[in-house]
Amino acid sequence: MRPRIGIIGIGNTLLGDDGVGIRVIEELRDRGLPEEIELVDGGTCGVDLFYLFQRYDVAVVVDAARMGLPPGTIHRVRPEEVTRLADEQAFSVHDLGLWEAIQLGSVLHTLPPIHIIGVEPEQYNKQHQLSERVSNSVEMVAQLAIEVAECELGDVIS
Amino acid sequence: MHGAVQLNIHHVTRVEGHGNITVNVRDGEIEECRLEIVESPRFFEVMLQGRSYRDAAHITSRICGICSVGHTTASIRATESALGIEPTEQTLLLRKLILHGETLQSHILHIYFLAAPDFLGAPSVIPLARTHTDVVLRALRLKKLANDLCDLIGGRSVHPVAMMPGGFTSVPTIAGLQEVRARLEAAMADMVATAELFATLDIPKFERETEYISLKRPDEYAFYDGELYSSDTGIHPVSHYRRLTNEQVVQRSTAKHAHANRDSFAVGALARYNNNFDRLNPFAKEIADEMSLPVPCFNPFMTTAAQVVECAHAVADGIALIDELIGRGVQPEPLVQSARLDGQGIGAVEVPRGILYHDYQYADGRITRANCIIPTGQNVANIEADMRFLVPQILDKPEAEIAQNLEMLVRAYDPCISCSAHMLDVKFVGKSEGEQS
Repeated sequence: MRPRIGIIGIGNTLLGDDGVGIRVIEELRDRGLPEEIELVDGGTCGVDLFYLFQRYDVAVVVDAARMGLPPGTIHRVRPEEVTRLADEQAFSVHDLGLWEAIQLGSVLHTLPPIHIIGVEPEQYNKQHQLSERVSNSVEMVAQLAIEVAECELGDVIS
Repeated sequence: MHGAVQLNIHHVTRVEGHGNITVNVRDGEIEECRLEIVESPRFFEVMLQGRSYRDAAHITSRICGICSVGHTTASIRATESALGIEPTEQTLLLRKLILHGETLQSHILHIYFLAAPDFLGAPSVIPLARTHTDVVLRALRLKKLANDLCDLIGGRSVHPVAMMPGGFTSVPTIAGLQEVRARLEAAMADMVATAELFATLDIPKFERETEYISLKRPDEYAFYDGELYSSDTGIHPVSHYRRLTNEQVVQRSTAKHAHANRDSFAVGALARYNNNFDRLNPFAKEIADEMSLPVPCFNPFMTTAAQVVECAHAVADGIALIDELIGRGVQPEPLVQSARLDGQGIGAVEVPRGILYHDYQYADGRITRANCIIPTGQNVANIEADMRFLVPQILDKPEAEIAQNLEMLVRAYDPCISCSAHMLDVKFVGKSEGEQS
């Protein structure tokens, strides 16, 4: 069975809350998901996300996002909002990887539908742990990612 | 007249990491001309202390997501040299092959994604994808091939997991090698197209001869190993690397500055090309000829052209290495065990941006002292020397053009600033009032 939906966590676990995407993927590892759903630790893979997106019918991205909301807030972000926010250098905590991958994919017409779940970070200190408020959001973000993925899976299969 | 220029370019774009350029010219005299590395140091050398020889490569791989294979290789070679481990012939072939994969990954990223927009008049690769779709698709095809080559040999497209002191924990299948070989064959046409594109670009006319330092081998274009070679003083044993790097802390930068026989020297694709041109394979020499790249070449803006040549070399030599591997058969091999648990060893490897050194001291299988010298750190003093030489030649130009030229110069070196900080913003510190127009 080819995986149809990718849940992709991105971020750097060495930079505090920037690692939230990866922590969500770790949280989901034990959940026994349908085999059509693949979990991906996208790390800081930058523009290589372009290739990663091409593997799936639908991608669900989990990332730390500076949205000006209280730390730990979970917010669904549309890909076109990433564009706008990244232009102001406000969105992605790491390089322009996610933004460039989405842009390249849309210009070259290779981009699958993408759902982005953003989590407002509190700090990007050089530490391995999440802040308490972001850490408290991890389980809920994981649940949301599954619900989005399973809902999409129903559409993809039917 | 052009009395004064003040530039402050904060965070030079399209380079890896954060750096600033500051230029201050008064009455035609340069008062300041600096490339500041402002990223915080990360103290990997301290993190290594107390760690087992089995962990060192996986830790240092994380110094960089662009040259993780290079760090892994330098780390493994330092450990093997310290602990008396002799890798097998198959291991050497696989390591050389995956290094070619990373050279391709990194150079293609720089040539097409970071440098090409400058020459094709686009702010980034995104608008380029609209106006030059075929060019961007070619770039993406080459990058994917390089990723897949690294994945095939190292078990992952970055931060290889199969590479260990003493060998590989898994080896590629013949079918996997054949599949990549076919794509490398097809990539030769893409490399010719890359050279044709580059030949049409308007590269700034600028020359400043400097000392070029690289590894050198009599029998091949040195990437994996070799002796140290300076264009000024010839061959040196790798054990003398400190004499050829002389790292110094400078106040304005979190990257140390390096010098050997002059105030600065260059490492990287252009240095290797100048020092080792005669060891390039015929295909790479054809590509150099296609771009009319002279030997030696003293124009740092042509570093990108030298990267195109090295990509061609990596493609053609990658095919040759795969043929050798397929010819002899690829077998899983046990890791070669260490002969001792104490000792000191140096791994010097040519990674995309120049020579990378890892130097470890071991006691009882654990690291007691580590020293890592990163290529960009070696180049920073030379970039500044180029800037000081270039600025007076372009003072007549409008400020925006001067800034663009300086950013292009810095980008030409393809600096990897996170690694050396141990980024770039160009800071113009003000043209005088009358010059603002």
